[in-house]
Amino acid sequence: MSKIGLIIKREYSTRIRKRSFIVMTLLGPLLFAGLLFGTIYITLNDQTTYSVLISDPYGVVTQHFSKTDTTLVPRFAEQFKNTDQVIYGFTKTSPDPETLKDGLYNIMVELDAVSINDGKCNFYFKNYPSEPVQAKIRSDIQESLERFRVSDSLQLDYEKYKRAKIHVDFAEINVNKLNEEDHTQERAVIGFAFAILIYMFIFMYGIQVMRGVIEEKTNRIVEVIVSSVKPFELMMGKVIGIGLVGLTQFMMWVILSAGLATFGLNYFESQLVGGSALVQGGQVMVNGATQAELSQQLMDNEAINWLFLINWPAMIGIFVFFFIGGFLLYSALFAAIGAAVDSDADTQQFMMPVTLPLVFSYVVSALLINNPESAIGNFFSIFPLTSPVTIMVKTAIGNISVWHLLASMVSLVAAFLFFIWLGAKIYRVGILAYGKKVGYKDLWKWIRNK
Amino acid sequence: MDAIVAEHINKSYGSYQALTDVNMVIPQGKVFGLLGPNGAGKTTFIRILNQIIEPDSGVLKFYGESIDRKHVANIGYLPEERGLYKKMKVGEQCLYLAQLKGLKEKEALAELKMWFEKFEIQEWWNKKVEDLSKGMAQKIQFITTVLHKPQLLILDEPFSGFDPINAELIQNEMLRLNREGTTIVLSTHDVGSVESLCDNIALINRSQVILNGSVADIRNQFRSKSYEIHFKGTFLEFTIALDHRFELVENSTSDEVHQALVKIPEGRTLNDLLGTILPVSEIVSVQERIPSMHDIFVQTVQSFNNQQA
Repeated sequence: MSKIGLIIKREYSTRIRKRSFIVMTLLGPLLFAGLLFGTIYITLNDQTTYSVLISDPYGVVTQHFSKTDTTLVPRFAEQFKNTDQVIYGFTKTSPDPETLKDGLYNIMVELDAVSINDGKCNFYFKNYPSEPVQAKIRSDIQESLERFRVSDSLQLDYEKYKRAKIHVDFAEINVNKLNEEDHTQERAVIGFAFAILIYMFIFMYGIQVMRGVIEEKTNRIVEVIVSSVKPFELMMGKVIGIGLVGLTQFMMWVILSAGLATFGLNYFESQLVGGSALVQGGQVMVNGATQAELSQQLMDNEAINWLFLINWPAMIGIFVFFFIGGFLLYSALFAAIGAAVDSDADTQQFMMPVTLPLVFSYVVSALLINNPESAIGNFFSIFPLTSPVTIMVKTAIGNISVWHLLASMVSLVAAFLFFIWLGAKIYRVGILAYGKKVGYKDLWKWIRNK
Repeated sequence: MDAIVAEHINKSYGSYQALTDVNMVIPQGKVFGLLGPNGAGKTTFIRILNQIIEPDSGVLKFYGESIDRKHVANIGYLPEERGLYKKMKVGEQCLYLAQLKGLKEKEALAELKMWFEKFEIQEWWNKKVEDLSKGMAQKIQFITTVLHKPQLLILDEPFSGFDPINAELIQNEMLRLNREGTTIVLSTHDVGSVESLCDNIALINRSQVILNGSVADIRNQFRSKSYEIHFKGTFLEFTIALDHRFELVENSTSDEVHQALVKIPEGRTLNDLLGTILPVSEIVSVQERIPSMHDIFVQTVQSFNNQQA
């Protein structure tokens, strides 16, 4: 085996056997899945009964039961029906929300003058209700308010109004890809998740490269090693070895996540068939649907089906390429920092200029979610210090041309070659410089050394 | 053939001159002392020998060939700043370092087995380095330095930091390797510790070689023709006899045997001196006072520094 191969092997095998690596690799997807399915599970399984007090001082949605009986009842019989989970009570007063704490009710909704005009209501709660419960309360109030405004104020027939009313919904279609809806926003969010992942990996494993270099320096093994191999071979061996560890972890996460997702979806489908309800766009679906119907509904579900629009193989391929490129670029700089200092504590002064563009790329990616076509976004997805993170959002949206991607790749390769060359110059001198505090001036001198 | 021939080696770091026109010959099969005060340039020269850094100019030959990456496998180097990977197991680490020197895994295992048995440390194989004492780690460092049977063994400050037992053990192993043909370079600022070991030395001071050659030649060169004479008789008569022809450097008298250190000037011999003092004293012993390497070292460095100042 070549010497650089030996170094890669050592870096890889010692790290992959570490307990922390194994734990992270196994726990990562479990944590993701747990968070995701935990939320769904809690939402679907919220069986708590909520007592909801509607405070209606203007008498907009309530009325007395009869002239003799002053009990408050809903003004429109179709609304505010009690269910297993929601039991309504009404009052004409405006109770102090403080009294809710010790009182009978879990929730209080206040309908004041503002609410009647623009629909804004204060929603007081003791414990936060699940989305279906909120949806039920919201739609009850909304329809009641509408009825009030339509029939009382405008003197129109509510049924006619209902027929006239229309809900506008955009089906976003990219002209370049007719026949399919676009879902740019949702896809951008997925892209952002990948951007975070690549950002995290570059950071995590870049720091590992730096720590590794510092370790070799403080252990005083480095001079022994460089008497057998060239400093450049040692640096590249370390960078490549650690990069492979990162790729291994990513691949394990992809495989484990895919496995868990399949398992999880199957589990929820079977739960749904026997269980209570599937929430879809605020509507509650009733029992009795067959397994096949439900699967189909899951695919048709607007909240999920755009997932199938993302080009996953391209996404993963581009992730791998830009992770490798970005990692090579940044880890060369991290290696140089490690070589320039004597201990972890001294790294501070050099970290800023390296982490700044990385953090910046993260911020730009977050902004891209809302404005994916911006010129600034195009620039930063080509600029090599930010492209590895930013490109993920653009790829997920699918609005990236082949030329754009190629430009981004070429500039990244050129940049990492340059930064490896630069990092190696600092590294070569730094690893043998002990005991003196190094500043930027010294680094410049080392770079100019032939 | 010479192990190392260095001609006109220069090396600077920015404005700092680390080596100035260094010429040095390290003969094959000898123990060579690379001496000099701290910061003189010894480690820089050694790093150049190990091809860790490149000289700015000059020629370096290794056993007659222009030095090249392939020679790394023929050199064993124990740096002054030496250490091991703390978290790695001893055996694994030795194997790794041996393979980096170009040994095949099988050869390395066989060699390691031999050394571990010799030092009776087989049970350390699966221990982590961080669980070893400093002395134990030093043995491992020495083994990994000589495992690949280098033709040239370079030890930088080899006896600093070693406990006396390990220092003795390593000195013996080193001399055994030397007898078997290994050329050895010892670099140190502590001349006393290597004086008896070295066949040849070079003295580096302020980036320059200021003294260079075999220990015997250098001693000869620094002979001051001073003799320590023990004699019986009256001291006064002894001094009168010396007259101004011979210089009395120091003396001590006692009831029975007196002692005097006499320097013989150019143009006269020991016989002349003896002829002068024989009539007035009964000579007990005469011995030439030979300067120690340490004295030569201090004297040379001081006179060089005074000249420069």
